[in-house]
Amino acid sequence: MLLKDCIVYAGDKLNTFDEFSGSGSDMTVLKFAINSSNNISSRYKGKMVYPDWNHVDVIQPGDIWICSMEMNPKDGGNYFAVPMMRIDASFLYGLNKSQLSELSLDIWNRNREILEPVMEEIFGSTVEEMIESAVSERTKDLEEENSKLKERLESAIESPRSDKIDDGSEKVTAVMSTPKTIVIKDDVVRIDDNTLESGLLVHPKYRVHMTANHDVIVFRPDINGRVTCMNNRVSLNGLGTLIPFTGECEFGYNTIGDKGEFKVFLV
Amino acid sequence: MSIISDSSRDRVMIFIDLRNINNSSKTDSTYSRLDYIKMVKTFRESRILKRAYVFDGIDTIENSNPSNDFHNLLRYHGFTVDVIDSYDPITDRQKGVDVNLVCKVMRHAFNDDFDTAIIVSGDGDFVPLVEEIKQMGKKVEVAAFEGSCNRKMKLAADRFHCMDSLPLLEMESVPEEGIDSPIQSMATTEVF
Repeated sequence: MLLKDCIVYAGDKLNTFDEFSGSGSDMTVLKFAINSSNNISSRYKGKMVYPDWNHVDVIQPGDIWICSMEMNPKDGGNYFAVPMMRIDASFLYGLNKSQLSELSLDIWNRNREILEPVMEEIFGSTVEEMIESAVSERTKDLEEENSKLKERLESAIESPRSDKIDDGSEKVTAVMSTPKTIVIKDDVVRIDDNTLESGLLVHPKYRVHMTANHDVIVFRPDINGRVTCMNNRVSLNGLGTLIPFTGECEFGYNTIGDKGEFKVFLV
Repeated sequence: MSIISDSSRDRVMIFIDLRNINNSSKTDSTYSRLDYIKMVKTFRESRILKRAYVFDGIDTIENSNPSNDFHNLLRYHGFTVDVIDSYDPITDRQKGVDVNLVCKVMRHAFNDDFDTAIIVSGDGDFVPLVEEIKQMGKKVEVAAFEGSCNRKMKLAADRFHCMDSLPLLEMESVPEEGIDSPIQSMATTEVF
């Protein structure tokens, strides 16, 4: 970890980095030890460093501190260090997510050759297992979906198309001669508080208007519309507040003209 | 259903009492907003729209009036926005907007500028105006929300547009997480 980074981290933690850097004195990270005279000291730029007399924190041998350095004003033969912040486990635990991310990236970059084989040994098998389980789960879902679609397609093919139109309860748009076509129901279904789904919702943007008595919603395809449609679904802001959601339900609808406009009856 | 016949050649003028309609709108403005362009198109039907007036009052004592942007937006879309400085500091209310609307309707009626006047307001003060316009041989339609429309006003008009059952409130998508985007303006690029 670079000294600059350390100071930045400390500054972030204390919200005093500006204050530190604006003081005009040097900032550095020092490890303190007991010298031959039995005093706590360290070294900086080839000169001895002694803790400043006025500092209040107790420095123990072996401690690492971010310090503000001031040269001895008398002869410049040594430095005095004002300890700002101790770098220890609590410092590391107090780092936020982005700081931890930067720190771990820095450690990884500096020690990649050592860490890489260790990480591979620990996580190699785990990653493979995770990929395998995710793939199998997704495959299972797709198989289920596929079987459902097949069932729906078969039932649609078996029953005469005219019946579907006549009863009016469930209209299905599908190309009957091509089994690969996905069947999409035109019914307007409310899925949750704010979301409606329908095979009629095929345009990217809609202009949507509701009546003040909340009985009817009109959808009109419009590239400048305020409602975005994705995967045959739209989410209308406040629908759940205006009309409380009581469970998944289907709404009647009427198509208007041949430009994709339709009216949904909410009551 | 009115027995008065309409023709697609009828000339229509629409007079909107903005404050009355906004106040009487039942909608929660956080989620939807009255779409004035759609409203005008709906009331106009296939007839010829000569002009759509919007009447409002402003408080010139306040330095910044939030209505100004909305007025300008309406002007951009072709509305004639008639705003008067009608703030009464004694009663702390706006006055004179109704009279301004009446003056404009009467002037256009005398000039034979329209065949049908559509007054978008439920205010009962306009009943004499409706009666007067009818006596001049003009047709008068009234549009308002059911709960806020004066009963006499509905009866006086040749035709009443119940705004509760018309899809005039424009909705928007659920805003993305972290983005606060209630409907702030009548955003539309349509012109009529």
